[in-house]
Amino acid sequence: MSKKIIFESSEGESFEVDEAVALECQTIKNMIEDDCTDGGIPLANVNSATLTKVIDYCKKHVEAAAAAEANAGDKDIYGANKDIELKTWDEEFVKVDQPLLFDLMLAANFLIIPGLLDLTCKTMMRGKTVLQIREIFHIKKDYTDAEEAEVRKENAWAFE
Amino acid sequence: MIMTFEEVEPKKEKICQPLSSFSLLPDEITENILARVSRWNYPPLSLVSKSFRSLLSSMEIYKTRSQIGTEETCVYVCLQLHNQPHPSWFSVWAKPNNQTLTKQRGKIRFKKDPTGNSVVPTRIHSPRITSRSTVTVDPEIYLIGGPREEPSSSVWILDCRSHTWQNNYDLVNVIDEKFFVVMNEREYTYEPKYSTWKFLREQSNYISYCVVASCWIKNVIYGCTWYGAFLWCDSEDHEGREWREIKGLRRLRDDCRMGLRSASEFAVDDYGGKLMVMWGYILISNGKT
Repeated sequence: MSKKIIFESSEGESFEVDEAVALECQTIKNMIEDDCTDGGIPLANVNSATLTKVIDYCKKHVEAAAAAEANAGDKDIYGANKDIELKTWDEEFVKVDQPLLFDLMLAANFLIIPGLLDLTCKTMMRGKTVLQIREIFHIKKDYTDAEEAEVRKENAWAFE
Repeated sequence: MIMTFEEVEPKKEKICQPLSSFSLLPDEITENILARVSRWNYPPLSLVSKSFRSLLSSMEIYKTRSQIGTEETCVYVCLQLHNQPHPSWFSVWAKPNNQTLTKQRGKIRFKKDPTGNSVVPTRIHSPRITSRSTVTVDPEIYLIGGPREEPSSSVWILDCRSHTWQNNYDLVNVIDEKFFVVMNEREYTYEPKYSTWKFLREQSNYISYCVVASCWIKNVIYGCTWYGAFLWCDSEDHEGREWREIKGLRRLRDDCRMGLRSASEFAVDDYGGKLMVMWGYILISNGKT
Protein backbone atom coordinates (compact mmCIF):
# COMPACT_ATOMS: atom_id res chain seq x y z
CA MET A 1 0.00 0.00 0.00
CA SER A 2 1.32 3.41 -0.87
CA LYS A 3 2.22 5.94 1.78
CA LYS A 4 -0.48 8.42 2.78
CA ILE A 5 -0.11 12.10 3.46
CA ILE A 6 -2.60 14.02 5.56
CA PHE A 7 -3.49 17.63 4.73
CA GLU A 8 -5.35 19.80 7.15
CA SER A 9 -7.44 22.64 5.75
CA SER A 10 -7.82 26.07 7.34
CA GLU A 11 -11.05 24.84 8.97
CA GLY A 12 -9.13 21.97 10.57
CA GLU A 13 -10.62 19.28 8.33
CA SER A 14 -8.28 16.36 7.47
CA PHE A 15 -7.74 15.05 3.93
CA GLU A 16 -5.84 11.83 3.34
CA VAL A 17 -4.13 11.47 -0.03
CA ASP A 18 -1.64 9.12 -1.65
CA GLU A 19 1.92 10.35 -1.49
CA ALA A 20 2.04 10.32 -5.32
CA VAL A 21 -0.83 12.84 -5.39
CA ALA A 22 0.80 15.08 -2.79
CA LEU A 23 4.03 15.01 -4.79
CA GLU A 24 2.29 17.03 -7.51
CA CYS A 25 2.79 20.02 -5.18
CA GLN A 26 6.40 21.14 -5.27
CA THR A 27 6.12 22.67 -1.82
CA ILE A 28 4.89 19.36 -0.34
CA LYS A 29 7.49 17.43 -2.32
CA ASN A 30 10.20 19.47 -0.61
CA MET A 31 8.65 18.76 2.79
CA ILE A 32 8.42 15.03 2.06
CA GLU A 33 12.06 15.00 1.03
CA ASP A 34 12.95 16.82 4.26
CA ASP A 35 10.87 14.25 6.13
CA CYS A 36 8.68 16.75 7.92
CA THR A 37 5.21 15.51 7.03
CA ASP A 38 4.55 13.24 10.02
CA GLY A 39 1.39 14.12 11.89
CA GLY A 40 -0.15 15.88 8.89
CA ILE A 41 0.45 19.11 7.03
CA PRO A 42 -1.59 22.06 8.23
CA LEU A 43 -2.53 24.39 5.36
CA ALA A 44 -3.67 27.45 7.24
CA ASN A 45 -4.32 29.43 4.07
CA VAL A 46 -6.26 26.85 2.04
CA ASN A 47 -9.91 26.23 2.92
CA SER A 48 -11.68 22.87 2.60
CA ALA A 49 -13.54 23.69 -0.60
CA THR A 50 -10.35 24.80 -2.33
CA LEU A 51 -8.33 21.90 -0.97
CA THR A 52 -10.92 19.39 -2.25
CA LYS A 53 -10.57 20.86 -5.74
CA VAL A 54 -6.77 20.95 -5.55
CA ILE A 55 -6.67 17.29 -4.55
CA ASP A 56 -9.08 16.43 -7.41
CA TYR A 57 -6.76 18.17 -9.84
CA CYS A 58 -3.62 16.45 -8.57
CA LYS A 59 -5.33 13.03 -8.56
CA LYS A 60 -6.53 13.43 -12.14
CA HIS A 61 -3.10 14.50 -13.35
CA VAL A 62 -1.32 11.65 -11.55
CA GLU A 63 -3.77 9.18 -13.11
CA ALA A 64 -3.37 10.74 -16.55
CA ALA A 65 0.42 10.60 -16.30
CA ALA A 66 0.29 6.94 -15.21
CA ALA A 67 -2.10 6.08 -18.06
CA ALA A 68 0.13 7.87 -20.57
CA GLU A 69 3.14 5.93 -19.32
CA ALA A 70 1.29 2.60 -19.48
CA ASN A 71 0.20 3.27 -23.04
CA ALA A 72 3.53 4.63 -24.20
CA GLY A 73 4.54 1.23 -25.52
CA ASP A 74 1.62 0.74 -27.87
CA LYS A 75 0.85 4.05 -29.48
CA ASP A 76 -2.07 3.98 -31.83
CA ILE A 77 -3.21 6.59 -34.30
CA TYR A 78 -5.37 8.13 -31.58
CA GLY A 79 -2.33 8.73 -29.38
CA ALA A 80 -3.20 12.39 -29.01
CA ASN A 81 -6.66 11.65 -27.60
CA LYS A 82 -5.43 11.36 -24.04
CA ASP A 83 -4.12 14.90 -24.15
CA ILE A 84 -7.39 16.17 -25.54
CA GLU A 85 -9.31 14.32 -22.85
CA LEU A 86 -7.17 15.84 -20.11
CA LYS A 87 -7.52 19.30 -21.64
CA THR A 88 -11.28 18.93 -21.74
CA TRP A 89 -11.22 17.79 -18.14
CA ASP A 90 -9.13 20.84 -17.20
CA GLU A 91 -11.60 23.14 -18.94
CA GLU A 92 -14.50 21.64 -17.02
CA PHE A 93 -12.48 21.77 -13.81
CA VAL A 94 -12.13 25.57 -13.89
CA LYS A 95 -15.80 26.23 -14.57
CA VAL A 96 -16.26 27.56 -11.04
CA ASP A 97 -17.21 30.93 -9.59
CA GLN A 98 -14.65 33.73 -9.47
CA PRO A 99 -13.86 33.59 -5.71
CA LEU A 100 -13.13 29.84 -5.87
CA LEU A 101 -11.05 30.33 -9.01
CA PHE A 102 -9.11 33.04 -7.23
CA ASP A 103 -8.53 30.80 -4.19
CA LEU A 104 -7.44 27.95 -6.46
CA MET A 105 -4.92 30.22 -8.11
CA LEU A 106 -3.50 31.30 -4.76
CA ALA A 107 -3.35 27.71 -3.57
CA ALA A 108 -1.56 26.67 -6.79
CA ASN A 109 0.89 29.51 -6.32
CA PHE A 110 1.48 28.64 -2.68
CA LEU A 111 1.73 24.86 -3.13
CA ILE A 112 3.64 25.33 -6.41
CA ILE A 113 1.54 23.34 -8.86
CA PRO A 114 2.66 24.85 -12.20
CA GLY A 115 -0.07 23.22 -14.31
CA LEU A 116 -2.87 24.42 -12.05
CA LEU A 117 -1.37 27.88 -11.69
CA ASP A 118 -1.16 28.18 -15.45
CA LEU A 119 -4.71 26.95 -15.92
CA THR A 120 -6.26 29.22 -13.28
CA CYS A 121 -4.34 32.34 -14.35
CA LYS A 122 -5.29 31.95 -17.99
CA THR A 123 -8.92 31.21 -17.15
CA MET A 124 -9.19 34.17 -14.83
CA MET A 125 -7.91 36.68 -17.36
CA ARG A 126 -9.51 35.20 -20.47
CA GLY A 127 -12.04 37.36 -22.31
CA LYS A 128 -12.32 39.96 -19.56
CA THR A 129 -12.72 43.63 -20.31
CA VAL A 130 -10.80 46.22 -18.36
CA LEU A 131 -13.95 47.13 -16.42
CA GLN A 132 -14.63 43.49 -15.58
CA ILE A 133 -11.11 42.99 -14.30
CA ARG A 134 -11.39 46.10 -12.13
CA GLU A 135 -14.76 44.95 -10.85
CA ILE A 136 -13.79 41.36 -10.09
CA PHE A 137 -10.61 42.31 -8.32
CA HIS A 138 -11.87 45.52 -6.74
CA ILE A 139 -9.21 47.65 -8.33
CA LYS A 140 -9.93 51.36 -8.33
CA LYS A 141 -9.17 53.25 -11.51
CA ASP A 142 -6.18 55.41 -10.69
CA TYR A 143 -5.72 56.97 -14.12
CA THR A 144 -6.99 60.42 -14.90
CA ASP A 145 -8.96 60.59 -18.15
CA ALA A 146 -5.98 62.23 -19.85
CA GLU A 147 -3.60 59.52 -18.65
CA GLU A 148 -5.97 56.80 -19.77
CA ALA A 149 -6.26 58.39 -23.20
CA GLU A 150 -2.48 58.45 -23.44
CA VAL A 151 -2.22 54.72 -22.65
CA ARG A 152 -4.92 54.01 -25.22
CA LYS A 153 -3.08 56.05 -27.79
CA GLU A 154 0.13 54.11 -27.25
CA ASN A 155 -1.54 50.94 -28.42
CA ALA A 156 -4.40 52.29 -30.46
CA TRP A 157 -4.63 49.12 -32.56
CA ALA A 158 -5.57 47.03 -29.54
CA PHE A 159 -8.67 49.08 -28.82
CA GLU A 160 -10.12 49.42 -32.27
CA MET B 1 8.91 17.58 14.42
CA ILE B 2 5.91 19.09 12.77
CA MET B 3 6.75 22.01 10.60
CA THR B 4 3.91 24.22 9.57
CA PHE B 5 3.95 26.62 6.69
CA GLU B 6 3.80 29.52 9.07
CA GLU B 7 7.14 28.46 10.47
CA VAL B 8 8.64 27.92 7.06
CA GLU B 9 7.48 31.15 5.51
CA PRO B 10 5.96 33.55 7.99
CA LYS B 11 5.02 36.16 5.38
CA LYS B 12 2.58 33.75 3.74
CA GLU B 13 0.32 34.26 6.75
CA LYS B 14 -0.99 37.32 5.02
CA ILE B 15 -2.82 35.07 2.60
CA CYS B 16 -4.80 33.47 5.42
CA GLN B 17 -7.39 36.21 5.26
CA PRO B 18 -9.87 35.88 2.44
CA LEU B 19 -8.67 37.94 -0.44
CA SER B 20 -10.87 39.71 -2.85
CA SER B 21 -8.53 42.28 -4.27
CA PHE B 22 -5.53 42.21 -6.50
CA SER B 23 -4.19 45.24 -4.69
CA LEU B 24 -3.75 43.08 -1.60
CA LEU B 25 -1.71 40.57 -3.55
CA PRO B 26 2.04 40.77 -3.33
CA ASP B 27 3.52 42.04 -6.59
CA GLU B 28 5.33 38.74 -7.14
CA ILE B 29 2.03 36.87 -7.37
CA THR B 30 0.45 39.47 -9.64
CA GLU B 31 3.52 39.25 -11.85
CA ASN B 32 3.30 35.47 -11.83
CA ILE B 33 -0.29 35.73 -13.05
CA LEU B 34 0.35 38.34 -15.72
CA ALA B 35 3.38 36.47 -17.06
CA ARG B 36 1.07 33.59 -17.95
CA VAL B 37 -1.21 35.71 -20.09
CA SER B 38 -0.48 36.23 -23.78
CA ARG B 39 1.56 39.32 -24.46
CA TRP B 40 -1.10 40.48 -26.89
CA ASN B 41 -3.42 41.08 -23.95
CA TYR B 42 -0.96 43.48 -22.37
CA PRO B 43 -2.26 46.68 -24.00
CA PRO B 44 -5.80 46.32 -22.60
CA LEU B 45 -4.48 44.99 -19.28
CA SER B 46 -2.26 48.02 -18.83
CA LEU B 47 -5.44 50.12 -18.68
CA VAL B 48 -6.53 48.41 -15.47
CA SER B 49 -4.31 50.43 -13.16
CA LYS B 50 -0.97 52.19 -12.92
CA SER B 51 0.60 49.31 -11.03
CA PHE B 52 -0.54 46.90 -13.74
CA ARG B 53 0.97 49.09 -16.37
CA SER B 54 4.32 49.43 -14.66
CA LEU B 55 4.43 45.68 -14.05
CA LEU B 56 3.58 44.90 -17.67
CA SER B 57 6.20 47.23 -19.07
CA SER B 58 8.95 46.07 -16.73
CA MET B 59 11.79 43.85 -17.81
CA GLU B 60 11.09 41.66 -14.78
CA ILE B 61 7.95 40.24 -16.33
CA TYR B 62 9.92 39.07 -19.37
CA LYS B 63 12.44 37.41 -17.09
CA THR B 64 9.56 35.57 -15.41
CA ARG B 65 8.10 34.61 -18.79
CA SER B 66 11.43 33.17 -19.79
CA GLN B 67 11.74 31.24 -16.50
CA ILE B 68 8.29 29.67 -16.74
CA GLY B 69 8.50 29.09 -20.48
CA THR B 70 5.71 31.38 -21.67
CA GLU B 71 7.77 33.17 -24.29
CA GLU B 72 5.96 33.94 -27.52
CA THR B 73 7.33 34.34 -31.02
CA CYS B 74 6.54 37.66 -32.63
CA VAL B 75 7.36 38.59 -36.16
CA TYR B 76 8.28 42.19 -36.83
CA VAL B 77 7.96 43.60 -40.29
CA CYS B 78 9.52 46.79 -41.54
CA LEU B 79 7.57 48.22 -44.46
CA GLN B 80 8.34 51.15 -46.71
CA LEU B 81 4.86 52.37 -47.55
CA HIS B 82 4.28 54.62 -50.52
CA ASN B 83 2.52 57.30 -48.50
CA GLN B 84 5.07 57.39 -45.66
CA PRO B 85 8.43 59.14 -45.73
CA HIS B 86 10.15 56.58 -43.50
CA PRO B 87 9.88 52.83 -43.05
CA SER B 88 7.26 51.78 -40.50
CA TRP B 89 7.45 48.79 -38.17
CA PHE B 90 4.57 46.40 -37.71
CA SER B 91 4.15 43.24 -35.74
CA VAL B 92 2.34 40.20 -36.97
CA TRP B 93 -0.22 39.20 -34.43
CA ALA B 94 -1.77 35.77 -34.25
CA LYS B 95 -4.87 36.72 -32.32
CA PRO B 96 -5.84 33.86 -30.03
CA ASN B 97 -9.60 34.23 -30.39
CA ASN B 98 -9.52 34.66 -34.16
CA GLN B 99 -11.05 38.13 -34.21
CA THR B 100 -9.20 40.26 -36.65
CA LEU B 101 -8.61 43.91 -37.18
CA THR B 102 -10.70 45.47 -39.84
CA LYS B 103 -10.06 49.16 -39.33
CA GLN B 104 -6.82 51.02 -39.80
CA ARG B 105 -6.21 54.70 -39.66
CA GLY B 106 -5.42 56.62 -42.81
CA LYS B 107 -5.15 54.83 -46.08
CA ILE B 108 -3.22 51.83 -44.83
CA ARG B 109 -5.45 48.81 -44.80
CA PHE B 110 -4.56 45.23 -44.11
CA LYS B 111 -6.99 42.56 -45.00
CA LYS B 112 -7.72 40.00 -42.38
CA ASP B 113 -6.62 36.56 -43.32
CA PRO B 114 -8.35 33.26 -42.53
CA THR B 115 -5.63 32.11 -40.11
CA GLY B 116 -6.41 34.96 -37.74
CA ASN B 117 -3.10 36.73 -38.23
CA SER B 118 -3.14 40.49 -38.31
CA VAL B 119 -0.49 43.03 -39.10
CA VAL B 120 -0.64 45.76 -36.49
CA PRO B 121 1.27 49.04 -36.41
CA THR B 122 3.82 49.60 -33.64
CA ARG B 123 5.19 52.88 -32.40
CA ILE B 124 8.68 51.90 -33.46
CA HIS B 125 10.34 54.55 -35.62
CA SER B 126 12.89 53.27 -38.04
CA PRO B 127 16.33 54.81 -37.95
CA ARG B 128 17.41 56.55 -41.13
CA ILE B 129 20.07 54.44 -42.70
CA THR B 130 20.33 53.65 -46.34
CA SER B 131 21.72 50.18 -46.55
CA ARG B 132 20.64 47.63 -43.99
CA SER B 133 20.38 44.05 -42.98
CA THR B 134 18.92 42.44 -39.88
CA VAL B 135 20.05 39.73 -37.52
CA THR B 136 17.85 38.40 -34.75
CA VAL B 137 19.48 37.76 -31.41
CA ASP B 138 16.50 36.98 -29.15
CA PRO B 139 14.91 39.05 -27.78
CA GLU B 140 16.50 41.75 -29.91
CA ILE B 141 16.75 42.62 -33.57
CA TYR B 142 20.05 44.02 -34.77
CA LEU B 143 19.76 46.40 -37.64
CA ILE B 144 23.11 46.57 -39.30
CA GLY B 145 23.72 49.25 -41.80
CA GLY B 146 25.93 52.02 -42.93
CA PRO B 147 26.30 54.86 -45.33
CA ARG B 148 27.90 52.60 -47.91
CA GLU B 149 26.67 49.33 -49.31
CA GLU B 150 28.68 47.25 -46.89
CA PRO B 151 28.00 46.43 -43.27
CA SER B 152 29.62 48.80 -40.78
CA SER B 153 30.43 48.23 -37.15
CA SER B 154 27.63 50.49 -35.98
CA VAL B 155 24.38 48.79 -35.14
CA TRP B 156 20.89 49.70 -34.06
CA ILE B 157 19.35 47.33 -31.57
CA LEU B 158 15.60 47.00 -31.28
CA ASP B 159 14.46 45.56 -27.98
CA CYS B 160 11.31 43.63 -28.86
CA ARG B 161 10.08 43.77 -25.27
CA SER B 162 10.14 47.51 -24.78
CA HIS B 163 10.00 48.49 -28.48
CA THR B 164 12.90 50.87 -28.04
CA TRP B 165 16.08 51.36 -30.02
CA GLN B 166 19.59 51.62 -28.77
CA ASN B 167 22.11 52.90 -31.20
CA ASN B 168 25.75 53.81 -31.75
CA TYR B 169 26.82 50.61 -30.22
CA ASP B 170 30.01 49.21 -31.43
CA LEU B 171 29.32 45.62 -32.43
CA VAL B 172 32.40 44.47 -30.61
CA ASN B 173 30.73 45.39 -27.32
CA VAL B 174 27.62 43.33 -27.85
CA ILE B 175 28.67 40.33 -29.87
CA ASP B 176 31.13 37.74 -28.76
CA GLU B 177 30.58 35.26 -31.52
CA LYS B 178 30.70 35.25 -35.29
CA PHE B 179 27.62 36.05 -37.22
CA PHE B 180 26.53 36.50 -40.77
CA VAL B 181 24.60 39.11 -42.66
CA VAL B 182 23.53 39.31 -46.25
CA MET B 183 23.73 42.71 -47.83
CA ASN B 184 23.29 43.52 -51.48
CA GLU B 185 23.38 39.83 -52.31
CA ARG B 186 26.77 39.42 -50.69
CA GLU B 187 27.41 37.47 -47.52
CA TYR B 188 29.57 38.91 -44.79
CA THR B 189 30.77 37.47 -41.53
CA TYR B 190 31.58 39.51 -38.46
CA GLU B 191 34.83 38.68 -36.69
CA PRO B 192 34.60 39.94 -33.13
CA LYS B 193 38.29 39.32 -32.53
CA TYR B 194 39.26 41.90 -35.12
CA SER B 195 35.97 43.83 -34.96
CA THR B 196 35.72 43.80 -38.72
CA TRP B 197 33.48 42.44 -41.41
CA LYS B 198 34.88 39.91 -43.80
CA PHE B 199 33.42 39.37 -47.25
CA LEU B 200 32.50 35.71 -47.55
CA ARG B 201 30.88 35.03 -50.89
CA GLU B 202 28.36 36.17 -53.43
CA GLN B 203 24.96 35.00 -52.34
CA SER B 204 24.20 33.65 -55.79
CA ASN B 205 26.83 30.98 -55.21
CA TYR B 206 24.54 29.09 -52.96
CA ILE B 207 21.08 30.26 -53.84
CA SER B 208 19.72 29.80 -57.29
CA TYR B 209 19.57 33.03 -59.29
CA CYS B 210 15.80 32.99 -59.60
CA VAL B 211 15.25 32.73 -55.83
CA VAL B 212 14.57 36.23 -54.53
CA ALA B 213 13.84 35.41 -50.91
CA SER B 214 14.88 32.53 -48.72
CA CYS B 215 15.06 31.39 -45.14
CA TRP B 216 16.28 28.43 -43.13
CA ILE B 217 13.92 26.36 -41.02
CA LYS B 218 15.77 23.58 -39.27
CA ASN B 219 17.71 21.80 -42.03
CA VAL B 220 15.68 23.03 -44.95
CA ILE B 221 16.14 26.16 -47.01
CA TYR B 222 12.90 27.52 -48.41
CA GLY B 223 13.02 29.89 -51.32
CA CYS B 224 10.60 31.98 -53.27
CA THR B 225 11.27 32.79 -56.91
CA TRP B 226 10.61 36.10 -58.66
CA TYR B 227 7.69 34.48 -60.43
CA GLY B 228 6.04 33.38 -57.17
CA ALA B 229 6.90 29.70 -56.95
CA PHE B 230 8.13 28.08 -53.74
CA LEU B 231 11.13 25.80 -53.63
CA TRP B 232 12.94 23.89 -50.95
CA CYS B 233 16.28 22.19 -50.64
CA ASP B 234 18.36 20.36 -48.07
CA SER B 235 20.73 22.78 -46.37
CA GLU B 236 23.14 19.98 -45.49
CA ASP B 237 23.65 19.15 -49.10
CA HIS B 238 26.48 21.52 -49.97
CA GLU B 239 27.44 19.95 -53.27
CA GLY B 240 25.02 20.11 -56.14
CA ARG B 241 22.22 21.67 -54.18
CA GLU B 242 18.96 20.76 -55.80
CA TRP B 243 15.82 22.87 -55.49
CA ARG B 244 12.49 21.11 -55.53
CA GLU B 245 9.14 22.78 -55.93
CA ILE B 246 6.61 22.83 -53.10
CA LYS B 247 3.48 21.46 -54.66
CA GLY B 248 -0.15 22.41 -54.12
CA LEU B 249 0.25 26.17 -54.16
CA ARG B 250 -0.99 26.86 -57.67
CA ARG B 251 -4.17 28.61 -56.56
CA LEU B 252 -2.21 30.93 -54.31
CA ARG B 253 0.13 31.77 -57.15
CA ASP B 254 -2.46 32.26 -59.84
CA ASP B 255 -5.12 34.15 -57.90
CA CYS B 256 -6.00 37.12 -60.07
CA ARG B 257 -6.33 39.61 -57.20
CA MET B 258 -3.74 38.66 -54.61
CA GLY B 259 -1.75 36.00 -56.42
CA LEU B 260 1.95 35.57 -55.89
CA ARG B 261 2.52 35.66 -59.61
CA SER B 262 1.68 39.37 -59.84
CA ALA B 263 3.78 40.39 -56.80
CA SER B 264 7.04 42.24 -57.21
CA GLU B 265 8.68 41.80 -53.81
CA PHE B 266 8.78 38.78 -51.54
CA ALA B 267 9.93 37.95 -48.06
CA VAL B 268 9.88 34.60 -46.31
CA ASP B 269 10.71 33.82 -42.72
CA ASP B 270 10.52 31.23 -40.01
CA TYR B 271 7.37 31.89 -37.98
CA GLY B 272 7.66 29.48 -35.09
CA GLY B 273 8.54 26.60 -37.40
CA LYS B 274 6.03 27.58 -40.07
CA LEU B 275 6.99 29.24 -43.32
CA MET B 276 5.64 32.77 -43.36
CA VAL B 277 5.37 34.46 -46.72
CA MET B 278 4.71 38.11 -47.34
CA TRP B 279 4.53 39.81 -50.66
CA GLY B 280 4.64 43.49 -51.49
CA TYR B 281 7.54 45.83 -50.64
CA ILE B 282 9.10 44.53 -47.50
CA LEU B 283 12.06 43.92 -45.29
CA ILE B 284 11.48 41.35 -42.62
CA SER B 285 12.89 40.10 -39.37
CA ASN B 286 11.63 38.29 -36.32
CA GLY B 287 12.32 38.20 -32.63
CA LYS B 288 11.22 36.26 -29.62
CA THR B 289 9.88 37.85 -26.44
